[in-house]
Amino acid sequence: MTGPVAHRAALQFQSPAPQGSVVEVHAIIRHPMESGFRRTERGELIAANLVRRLVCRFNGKEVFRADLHPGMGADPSIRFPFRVEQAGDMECEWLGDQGLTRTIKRALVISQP
Amino acid sequence: MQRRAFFKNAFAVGGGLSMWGYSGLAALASQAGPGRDIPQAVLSWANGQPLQYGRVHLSLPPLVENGFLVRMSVRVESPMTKSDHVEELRIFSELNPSPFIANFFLGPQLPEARVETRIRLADSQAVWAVARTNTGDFWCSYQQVIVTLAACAG
Amino acid sequence: MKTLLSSNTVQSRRQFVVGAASVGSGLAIGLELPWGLPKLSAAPATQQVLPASLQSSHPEIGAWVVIEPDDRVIVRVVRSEMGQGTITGLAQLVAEELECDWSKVQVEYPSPGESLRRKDIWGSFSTGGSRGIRTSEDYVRRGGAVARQMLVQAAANQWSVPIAECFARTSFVMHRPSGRKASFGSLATQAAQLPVPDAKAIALKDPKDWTIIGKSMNRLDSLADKVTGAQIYAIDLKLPGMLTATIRQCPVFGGTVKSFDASAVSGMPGVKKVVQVDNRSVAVVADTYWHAKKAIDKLPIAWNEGPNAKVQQADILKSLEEGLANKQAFIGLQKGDAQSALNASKKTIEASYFYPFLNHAPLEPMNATALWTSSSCKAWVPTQDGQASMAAVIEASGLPAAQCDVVKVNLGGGFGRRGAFQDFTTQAVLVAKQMPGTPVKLIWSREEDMTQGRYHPIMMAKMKASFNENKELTGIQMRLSGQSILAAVRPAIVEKSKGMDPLVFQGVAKDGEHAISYDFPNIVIDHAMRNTHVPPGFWRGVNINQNAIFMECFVDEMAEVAGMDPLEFRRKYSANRPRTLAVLNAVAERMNWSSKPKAGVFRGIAQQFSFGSYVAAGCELSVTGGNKIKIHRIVAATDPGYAVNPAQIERQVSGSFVYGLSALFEQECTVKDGRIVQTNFDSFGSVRLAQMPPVETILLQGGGPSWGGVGEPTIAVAAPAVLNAFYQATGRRLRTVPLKNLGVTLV
Repeated sequence: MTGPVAHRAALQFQSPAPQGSVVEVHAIIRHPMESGFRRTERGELIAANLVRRLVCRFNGKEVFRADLHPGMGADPSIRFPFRVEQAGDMECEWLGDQGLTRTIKRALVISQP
Repeated sequence: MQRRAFFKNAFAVGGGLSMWGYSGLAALASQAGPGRDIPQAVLSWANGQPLQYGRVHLSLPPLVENGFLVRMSVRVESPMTKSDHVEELRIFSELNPSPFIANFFLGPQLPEARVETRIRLADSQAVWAVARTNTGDFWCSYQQVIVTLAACAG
Repeated sequence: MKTLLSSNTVQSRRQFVVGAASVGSGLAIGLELPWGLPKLSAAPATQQVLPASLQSSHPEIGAWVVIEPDDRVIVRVVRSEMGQGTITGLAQLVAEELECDWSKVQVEYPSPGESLRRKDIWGSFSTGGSRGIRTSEDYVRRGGAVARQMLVQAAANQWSVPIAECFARTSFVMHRPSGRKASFGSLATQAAQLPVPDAKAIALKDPKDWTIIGKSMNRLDSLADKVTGAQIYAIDLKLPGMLTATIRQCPVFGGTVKSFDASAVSGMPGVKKVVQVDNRSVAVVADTYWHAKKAIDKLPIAWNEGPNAKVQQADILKSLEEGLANKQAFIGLQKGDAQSALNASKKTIEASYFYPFLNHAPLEPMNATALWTSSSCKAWVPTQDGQASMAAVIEASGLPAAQCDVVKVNLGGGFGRRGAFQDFTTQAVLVAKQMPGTPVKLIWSREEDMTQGRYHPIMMAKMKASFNENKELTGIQMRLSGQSILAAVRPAIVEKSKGMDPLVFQGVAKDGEHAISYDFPNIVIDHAMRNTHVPPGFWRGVNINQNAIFMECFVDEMAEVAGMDPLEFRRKYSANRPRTLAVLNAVAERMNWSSKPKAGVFRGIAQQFSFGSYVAAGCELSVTGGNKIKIHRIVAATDPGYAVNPAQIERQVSGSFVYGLSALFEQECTVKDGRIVQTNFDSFGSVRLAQMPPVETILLQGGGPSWGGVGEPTIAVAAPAVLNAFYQATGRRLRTVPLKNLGVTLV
């Protein structure tokens, strides 16, 4: 897991889901989260390489944001609850060091009663 | 600078406590408050505002082997309405090389102030979760996690 | 059940509860018990049941002690007994302050779940680093003192007399003026109801008044059962409805499972299920180990071996050799200017040494038993650290901590493999999770145990010494090159030390419990870190094993140049270190160092300070044919500051030499195609009874502000003593281990 490779990301929540229900949104990305405190065998500092931010937008409007720091574990995984009020697109954007940008989208469909 | 969290609604440390409304909590005042120094990074964020101990429910495993990947879930009691909600929820480490773990930006568009993630711990320590409401109130809680490998090396 | 039982067992030992209700309230062990239970007490072992209902009807007197109405004293211990004497020693510490009758003492193991519920009231469970007694001696003594005070108070209350007129002695409380007395058993219930006094405020006994601490009390782990083979180890466990599994992990470290074909073996006798455990291992679950093993041997598994499959031993050696010469290294100790001394040297000597990867290879291979349901998970683990096992169970089970627990079961050897590393526990839970409601015992084959270890790190050293025109030592350079354990296992410590692994310098460190115990002029000791794909671990003694050889063998070389007797040279450079001198002199005196040995008998000596203890060893041997060593005797002196059980210390010292000499003569783990080559005891031998010399142990108690450890320190000093004696016999310096590779054997 090094270099400017496209980090695999996933976005999961129940869809279709009933109107008014609460679904759990789970966003995850493969990433080493190099803290910037580690050193090589020769004692040289390994540069920080962190995912810095997750922004989730629903139908274009920001609904959740996280700023990530060295204390986050590798392969950042974040879950939060979201109320199903209208159908639309949930889009999660990961931003980070070394030019990391990764956007992943999933449609939220309202299930028929 | 405030070093100890003073508490309007005191209750004992730890995750997994049951919900209650947030008036009339005097019954719980008999249980001790945190009695633990608040990390400087937390105080800096609160910037002089009083830190109230309560409403934040932090849940981490009490024992982890190495601290590389620790499941964490945190929930704040809040109606999450336009007039009364959690705006920001920050997670801090007491003993990591950097005290910052994550900042979560919430708001009334979310049904609940709740986040689950995985954090990294360098050593046995307390993890702090601090919530800021739209009215400028700060609520906090902490949980101690023992990293069993830390007892071991050598 | 010939094991220590968890204190949270309830009612009948035959009761077994599977399912939701079990874990939270305190599980019955529910083991099939065709054998009788020995009494885990100070009296000679008899076959008697250790009752389970300790908490409900017989409340505790402070957290550390329960007194039964019949005066039995149950002491809680959370460290793990593995033959090293921890439970006996810790119980002695409690019993001393408690003032109880030693013959009535038994031990029980609170479970990690119990400890969590009680907010870690018994402290750390970790049993490693020779820490068991020395880091808990103060608070366990206080635990005993608290209980004593409560019992005395109960008597004083009962008699309506001032507490100052009462005292405890040998399980009785007595009232001095009237001569009245009451047994602990009769006072227990009232005592338990009293408020628990502040442990920190209690005054402890003066060591000169000790009658139990410092005495060779009978050990509480059942010796008779071990000798007759009756002792139950984790591998012997039987639970109702239990299945047995065995595992195959990717033989190349870092590789993963590509695919496997369960259908090829599912029809084989006894096979219940074939499961993928994690991304690098597959297990077969069957009715017996034999059936599981036969199936897994036939199971087709394809591996993604990964790039490490190309690594050969030669590549690793090359990397270490490069490190010996590289400019960059982490400095562990630096005094004066060794380089200038070297530049000005009139005579320089140099020597390179090698120490291989080693496996722990306990006689009982890795194993654990687990029972998983959607609402509870319990594991029975031969563990050096109940809390580490608990952490593994919590993580692997996916359940909240309150629904998990661990039962600590006798280990057939720990040596550092079963504390920090809980891979077998995690695996057992992951397998059990795929068979909900069924207890599964996971046993590794010997081959898995040998090839999936956590290895003592491979290490080379280059030693240089400079002398002036008067043959006086002017400087030393010691360069270590090899693998860091902490870089893999505790990277946070390495990060904090700016990339350095401080543990590499054990025995020759700058300061602390593993500090060098010489005062050399102008010294630098540094480490070129060369990590490998082989997972490292803490092998008994850890880095003192190779550092003792590197330093103590080279000390003899330096002594020779200086024209001094090896003992004299050591005395000169530890002249300001009385406890180092004491252990050296004790060995020298016992061996009659000042007079010549018998013809054909040669001597060697070595010393080290580690884990807070001063140790020295002397060896007398003969050599025939230039390469067959007969060791006649080893004399060891150890000063741990304070001794709880002298007889047990003697046993630890002897045992450590068996382990250390086996490594010296017979043992190495090498790498071929990324795999560990040695798969069984045919290629990884052990010193036998006939080869092992008599060991005489001299115990010194130098006191001091802290207590030293016993389990590990001595392991390192026999090897250099032997190597130094070998030189005296043959004129050959042996600098690579194991000696079998040099054609040198122990007869």
